[in-house]
Amino acid sequence: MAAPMSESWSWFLALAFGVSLLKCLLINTYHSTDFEVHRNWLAVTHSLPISQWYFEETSEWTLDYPPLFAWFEYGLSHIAKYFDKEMLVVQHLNYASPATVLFQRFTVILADVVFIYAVKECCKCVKGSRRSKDLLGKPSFVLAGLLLWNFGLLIVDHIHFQYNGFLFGVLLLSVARHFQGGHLEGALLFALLLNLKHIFLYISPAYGIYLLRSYCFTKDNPDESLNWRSFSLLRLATLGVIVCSVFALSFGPFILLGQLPQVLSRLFPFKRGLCHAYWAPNFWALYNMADKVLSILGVKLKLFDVDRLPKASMTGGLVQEFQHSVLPSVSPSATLVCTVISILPAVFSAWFRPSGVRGFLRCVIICALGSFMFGWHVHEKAVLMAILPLSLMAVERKEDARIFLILATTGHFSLFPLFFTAPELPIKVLLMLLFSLYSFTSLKMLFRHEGSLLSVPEAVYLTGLIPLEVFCEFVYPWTTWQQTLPFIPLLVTSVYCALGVSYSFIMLNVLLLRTENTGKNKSQ
Amino acid sequence: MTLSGGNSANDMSGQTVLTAEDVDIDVVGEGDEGMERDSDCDSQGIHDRAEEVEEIGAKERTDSPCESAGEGETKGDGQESASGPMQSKPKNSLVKPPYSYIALITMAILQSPQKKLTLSGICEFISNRFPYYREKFPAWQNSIRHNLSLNDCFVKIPREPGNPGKGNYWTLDPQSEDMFDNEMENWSLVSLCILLGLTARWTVSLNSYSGTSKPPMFGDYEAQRHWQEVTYNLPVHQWYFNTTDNNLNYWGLDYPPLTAFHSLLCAHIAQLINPEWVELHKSQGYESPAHKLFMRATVIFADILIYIPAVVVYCLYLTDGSTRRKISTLLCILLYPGLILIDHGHFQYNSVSLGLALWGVLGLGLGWDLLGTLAFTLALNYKQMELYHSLPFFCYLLGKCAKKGLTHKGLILLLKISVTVVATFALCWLPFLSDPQQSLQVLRRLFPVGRGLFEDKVANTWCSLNVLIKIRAQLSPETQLYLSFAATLLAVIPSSLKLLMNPTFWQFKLALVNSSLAFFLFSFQVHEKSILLVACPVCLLINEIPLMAIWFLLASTFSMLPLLLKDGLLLPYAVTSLAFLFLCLYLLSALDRATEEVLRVGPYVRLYRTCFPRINIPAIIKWKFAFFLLAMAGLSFTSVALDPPANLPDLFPVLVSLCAYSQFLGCLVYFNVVQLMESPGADDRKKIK
Repeated sequence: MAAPMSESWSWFLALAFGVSLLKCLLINTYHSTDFEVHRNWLAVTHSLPISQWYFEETSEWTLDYPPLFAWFEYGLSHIAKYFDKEMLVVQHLNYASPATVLFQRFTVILADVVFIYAVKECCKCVKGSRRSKDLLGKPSFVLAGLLLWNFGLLIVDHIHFQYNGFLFGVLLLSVARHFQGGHLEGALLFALLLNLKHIFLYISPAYGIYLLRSYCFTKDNPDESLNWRSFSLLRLATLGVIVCSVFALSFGPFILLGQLPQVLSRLFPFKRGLCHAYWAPNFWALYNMADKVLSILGVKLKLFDVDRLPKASMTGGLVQEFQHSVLPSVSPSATLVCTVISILPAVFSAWFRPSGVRGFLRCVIICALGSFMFGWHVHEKAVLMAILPLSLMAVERKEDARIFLILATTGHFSLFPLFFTAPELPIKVLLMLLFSLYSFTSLKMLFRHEGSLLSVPEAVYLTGLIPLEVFCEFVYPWTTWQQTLPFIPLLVTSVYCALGVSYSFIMLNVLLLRTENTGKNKSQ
Repeated sequence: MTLSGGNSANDMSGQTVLTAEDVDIDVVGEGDEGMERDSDCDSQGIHDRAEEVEEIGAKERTDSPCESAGEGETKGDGQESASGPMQSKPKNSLVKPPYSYIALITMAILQSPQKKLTLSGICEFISNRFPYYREKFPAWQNSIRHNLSLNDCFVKIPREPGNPGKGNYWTLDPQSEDMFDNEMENWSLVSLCILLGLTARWTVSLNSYSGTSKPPMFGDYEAQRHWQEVTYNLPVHQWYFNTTDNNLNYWGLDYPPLTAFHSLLCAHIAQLINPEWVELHKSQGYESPAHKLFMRATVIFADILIYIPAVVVYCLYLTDGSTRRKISTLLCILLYPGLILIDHGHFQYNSVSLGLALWGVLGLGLGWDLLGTLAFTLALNYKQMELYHSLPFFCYLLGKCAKKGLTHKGLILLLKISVTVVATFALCWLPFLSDPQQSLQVLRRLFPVGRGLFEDKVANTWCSLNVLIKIRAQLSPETQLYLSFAATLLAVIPSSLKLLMNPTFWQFKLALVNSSLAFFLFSFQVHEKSILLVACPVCLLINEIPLMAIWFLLASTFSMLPLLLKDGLLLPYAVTSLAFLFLCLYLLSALDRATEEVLRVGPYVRLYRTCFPRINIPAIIKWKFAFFLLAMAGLSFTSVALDPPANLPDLFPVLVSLCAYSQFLGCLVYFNVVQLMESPGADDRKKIK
């Protein structure tokens, strides 16, 4: 095993090094407010005592990541002082000297080393289902390309500015450890991840069920039902100790300081609206759209009075509170219920029909996508949480490849409105074309003996994104509606993409049930 | 042609060397993908296909593919060898190629123009390509016959009635041919390369341009904008004259008419978007993010329209080797940092003139002489510096006409070419022809003899010599002019004469390098950016002589370091140079291919062997390459990180230009030797049919 891996190093390094250089070229691009967010956190963690971290509110971008990430920023700040000390002053709002930009950008690029290592571990786990002498036809090569050159990660991290690469690196590494049988290490990494960014709580059901079912129970009955006697208390205790100690390490200081409620209120700000600034392409985008259409139809057909309708505040694009006019308004708890219901099939299947680590991965993806579809105040960027793990499955099975293509294309496209500045327009279009072209052709080549990947309607739907982009970016700004209805491109983009994402979600569940059935057939 | 392209004398011996490595791998019995990639790029495609065939033939498709990857191959080889008489270990330097007979047959059939061959044709191909088999002929002929009839993937076609001859044609079964096709579709790879090239260009263009917010003169960006302003607002006959509306001291137009027309075109578009951009006088020094975006877009648009298609056509139709290798070459050329940095960072339209010149080269290479002439004349009319390339074009075409016989066909061709040149020139100069004063003024603007032997720090002979002797102070301007003219002529003559006598495409490419390099090093009033005129033809050699081409291209980028630093392009410079170096070494496996044959150092070897019998020239070249890489990296670093001593403020630019100059001079000698020592007929395939 060792020899082929050592040979494969050169191409992997080439891919990784190439993309790192591309990231360096993106240093001078526009960066969003997230840049200031992270600069502020550097300043807060560097210049204030721990007790102040979660109380400080000079800047509106307060610390709202879990403590471990704050420690990460604290560590970075000690290097930052060699670049530019001024960036570490809390009062310097919107400070972005060239040295600060260089430093912050480089930290993202360097933190991606974790991601690169994780991708390498993942590539080892992929089954080489086909023998192919051709390097470009190897599943591991395709996977490395899909992950390392992922469009969403590139632009969100290296243009928009965030540390997603690092975080997803930890996630993928944890998944890879599960693939390799290192369940304890996988659990440890996931516990760390939760304390770096709590959005990953959404996929914790998958982890919990999988570890409990497939790790704590050491063997199954012959008919694959649960064998209660095989329960290993020792394994559960080990897991518990690992997870608890990580949490204690991270939250301990704040519990001792009696600040836990404050920290939690920072981490879970339910005051924000249903939809984030731009609508994420999820179920609620469709729901809001339906509400809007119904209200317009209602007014047109004189079913109800215009004055009695609440003024829908969705015009500006910046939506905090959204009042529905026809359909019932949605509360945070309702979204929670919807999320839980949406992931139930996957969780049940993981418990009753465990299908090994691949089933676990599928469950992770469904949890991520389910929470994206129905969650409260979801950000477009969260779709990456489903796209990246799905890449692993896409190179192994044709059906998954099909879902991947739809989900990745629509999910990535829905990120476009995040990058509204003119100089970045060519970059996002070029990179999107680059990634889409690569993913389509490489996956098509992987499964070329199994017929075409996409059905005709799916292909038509995806091709429709091209005219949509032309309309939103090139035609619409020149029309008169731009002044009166500036949010239309955002709305059209998000609704159109929501269709694709919802379709992928349904297909994932269908596939899950179908595999379950075939599993049953086999056992009978 | 795709597969047989690489079988020149040079590549062939290259392969025998590589073969040894492959055999080693087989003995160890491990998968050999990595090594193949690195060492055997020329025959990559063949190898892949061949092995697939072998599997089909041997019917060894198993369900656990991973394990059998290496195994199947050895087994196959064993079987095949057993039927042939070549069990014994190779005694001499010739090693048995690692291909099974089925692979060899497939190779032979695939390279034939009609994808079919007779038994004797197959044998002929194999013995031509592999010296090992040539020596053992005809012992293995029976094995070939045996394999042809036994394996289903080979189909016999009966001879057509009207086509007498001996033996049947053999071809590949179309059904099994599908199975060889495991390459990613080539068009998508080509598109990926182009997209990568465009991404690199656009990301570089986000950086600052020359003279950003530096009044009163700004830089080349303002020059281009000013030309738009002048051409848009003034009548044609004032463009090149100093008038109240046209101050020639402030970035006066000093490029040929085609550049002026291009500026006019851009100005019309600019005027549609925002009239302020080209307003007479008031727009001087205009800068805004939107305007920058517009200017950058015009450059990348010209690039997409002219330069990139030319590179794609060149790589796909005029380079040898497997498709994969052609595409690698394409990516490397597209990512050449010098051109990207100057055009999309510093701001110029070199991709237009170089692209047109490249179309000229393509025209000549593909046998469309008139089209090539037209394109090159246009290039000449876009930028007068294209004169650096004109001598090879002239000599090549003249030599070709002479070869056809200057009394019959050659004369007609010569006439056609001259008419094309004259007509194109006339067309471009039409507005200036009415009055001789006009044309003369344009010429005076194009060749500013009064501006001195050199400006700034440029890595050519005069500037380097200036460190020792202050030439400009000691010689009269006229002497300087004659001196540089004589030196240039002397440096250009050998390669031009050689090309005239032996007008092949390969010679033509080398002559382009030699002529432009000679002009750069010795001619009058050279700018540091003119090195791009040398770099462009060197890019065309990157497939044949990868190591030297990469070396030169890096050195050329490095030679512009002071300029790039002034423009604030340090980061893109460092990143693109690193990317280029790394990518080329990896994709073209330049270091592995640095053999005597590929480097074409036969003459040196013969020279030195008399005194030092064990000298290893390729190794020396690699060491030199590594040394200069370190030197360039170190100088780049020190010029950025350290302040020069107070009494020597120009220390680092001078060191940079000296370092670059020494490499350029070495390259001039090297490329001249390669061109002049090429024995006629050695590269038949490169001759124009």
